[in-house]
Amino acid sequence: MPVLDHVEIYEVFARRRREEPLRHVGTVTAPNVEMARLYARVIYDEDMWDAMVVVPRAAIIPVEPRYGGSSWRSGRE
Amino acid sequence: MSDPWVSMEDDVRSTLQALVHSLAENKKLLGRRYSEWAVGGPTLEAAIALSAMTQDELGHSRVLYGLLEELRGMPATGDADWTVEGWSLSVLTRPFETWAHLVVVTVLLDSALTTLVEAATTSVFPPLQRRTRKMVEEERYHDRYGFQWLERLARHPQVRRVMAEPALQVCTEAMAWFGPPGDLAPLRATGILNADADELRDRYCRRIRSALEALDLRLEAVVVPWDRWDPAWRRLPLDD
Repeated sequence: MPVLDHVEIYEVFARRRREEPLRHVGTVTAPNVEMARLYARVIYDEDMWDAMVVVPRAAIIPVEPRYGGSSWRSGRE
Repeated sequence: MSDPWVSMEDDVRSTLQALVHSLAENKKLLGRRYSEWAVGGPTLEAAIALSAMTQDELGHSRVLYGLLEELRGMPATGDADWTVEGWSLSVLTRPFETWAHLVVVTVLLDSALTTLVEAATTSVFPPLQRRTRKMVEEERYHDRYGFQWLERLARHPQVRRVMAEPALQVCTEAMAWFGPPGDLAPLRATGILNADADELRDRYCRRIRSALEALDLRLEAVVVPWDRWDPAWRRLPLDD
């Protein structure tokens, strides 16, 4: 079993001000949610964010496959 | 209001100065050791996070040197004023052999330094107290990073075995660094720290117990050879 076995892609969303919608700022690859949160905070620290969240890419449900759902689900950019 | 530094007893003053100096030097060297892996982490994310931790440690070190300037009552002319060969803990004097070694040091040594910093966040000595709050905040992420990586690596028996020996060595050095029983009592009695050496060691043990267990180690296996402890340098000498 390789030491660095399981990793997952997480989408990172953030907003500068409370009244703004969350917008996509990037991704991180991490073995679990805790590390995804930590990595997102360190990597996307260019702003004083009002909020930042991570979402496992696998949890994103495409409305229809033709909207690019297949690439999201497969983990491709 | 009287200057808290001027009104400080000589033994308290010298103990505090030596302790802050030791903390600053160890943080500086820890930052250097981290930096050696900041471009060699197993993933890009891990490397970036470690780069941030490098910056934190070096920054903390510089802030603590600033405190030493206040304690000494004169400005420093540069790093050379503070750096003393042999002042840092032995485990920091050599580059870490593997990523696993780095993780061991993050969990078992970085956390020991933080245990002391936390004990200063309630200090009655304002120059110390105001410098420690931000450090503690930043160190929360070092803790998470280290424990997450240790938990991940320790799932693998071979890696666990690689980590066990350095873990015992680092843990022994960290426990010794707080000082022998009764040490730092003047700082505790005057409210400069909220713990003496024994209390700091207890807090540290509670903090790292689960990490040691993840490596199949027990706290009881850690025995500090106090006869070898050098009080002037606050450390155990290097093994030959």
